[in-house]
Amino acid sequence: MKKITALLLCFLTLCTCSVTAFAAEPEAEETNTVISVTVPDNHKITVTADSARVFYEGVSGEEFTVERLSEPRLLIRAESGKVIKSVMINGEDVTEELHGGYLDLEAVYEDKVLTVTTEDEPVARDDTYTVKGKVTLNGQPLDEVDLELRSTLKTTKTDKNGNFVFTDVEPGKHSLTALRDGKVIGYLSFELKKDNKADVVLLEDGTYTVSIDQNGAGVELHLTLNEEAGTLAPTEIGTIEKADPNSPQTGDNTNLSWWWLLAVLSATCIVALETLSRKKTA
Amino acid sequence: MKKLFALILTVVMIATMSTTAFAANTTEGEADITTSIAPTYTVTIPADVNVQFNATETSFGAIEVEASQIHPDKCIKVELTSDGKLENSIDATKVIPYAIKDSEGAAFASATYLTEGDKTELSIHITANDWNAAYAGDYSDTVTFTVSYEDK
Repeated sequence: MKKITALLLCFLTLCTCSVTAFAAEPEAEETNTVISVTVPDNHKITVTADSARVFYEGVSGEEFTVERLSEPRLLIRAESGKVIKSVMINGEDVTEELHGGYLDLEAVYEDKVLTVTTEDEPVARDDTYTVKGKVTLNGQPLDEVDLELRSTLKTTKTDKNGNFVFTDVEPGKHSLTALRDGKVIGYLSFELKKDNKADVVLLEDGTYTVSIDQNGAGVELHLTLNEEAGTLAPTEIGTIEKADPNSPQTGDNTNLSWWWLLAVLSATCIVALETLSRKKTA
Repeated sequence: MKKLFALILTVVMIATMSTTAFAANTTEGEADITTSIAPTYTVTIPADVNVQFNATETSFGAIEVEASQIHPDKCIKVELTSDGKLENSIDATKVIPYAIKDSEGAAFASATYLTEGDKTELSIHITANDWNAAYAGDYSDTVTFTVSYEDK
């Protein structure tokens, strides 16, 4: 009987127990995803210029590759008989930022399109002057440097003392470009004006006004080259005096008939003397 | 000995008995059997992505719940952990800040999902100023998606 009671108790125990089944809940899972990006090393500056040339590092071109975040310095030079009208970078007008012909760009972070437009520059040809001078670098004469003067294109080369001469230069806006081995090493943008005395003034836009003494024959400039900035700065100016009209001039072509008469008389005298000399010998 | 065994069995029985509440006028007995079915779900998270240079907004794909069988009191939670900056592969001091946003433009940190088909579209945002200031080079960052099963 006791056994049966024990068995019954066991059965009851099993029947009345809660059966709890625990399902395993998922554990948190981590997954990694990579986001990547490549920032280019350089960018392109594409040039669209009407009657103007753009130089970067002394060389002109229509497309330049510049290092990302660099601040390139571009020289924008109008062709002969033209002046810069507007300069746009990616559609934004930056004409006011031109300084002495140079445009200093802010850190370049994308490709850019540079658009340059020009307009005609009337040239007064009634009076012309001589512009001469000397080019120095760190106080030393700069020889064998090609110089290009515009508006009307004139070219020359400095001599061993750094001297140069341009004749028949009309008043108006000009640029003077110094080149070595075809690369621009210096640039000067200036306006030549008649005035009461020779003078040179640096304007806010980085260009110069060079005044000529209207009683003089031209100006003499001392130009200092700054290679790093790529500029030619006039540091001294003087007047070239007009020659005395009464003094003999090389290449004087006035009173040509008198010169011809003198030549004929001289030839006659030589022939007469030669004839007399032969008669005496005979 | 038998008495002792019977006593122990009685104690065990009492200890393991379910507590059954009987209605006042009910005479039937009940035994609770509780069980639980393991939840199943599949969550898709965004794959690796390469952001194009100068793109201020790039699709990052979506977090999406597929084939979900979860308890009504539970939810699937997806958390995103990121530094918020892409590091240069050569110089870790050079970074590009970014943000991961949902389709409404809010910064995404986490979201909970209940049913199959629930999803969150994500996008990567880098401001123009941050692009402009970025140095050249390759950048990357690893974001971690943590998927967990939690109470609502």
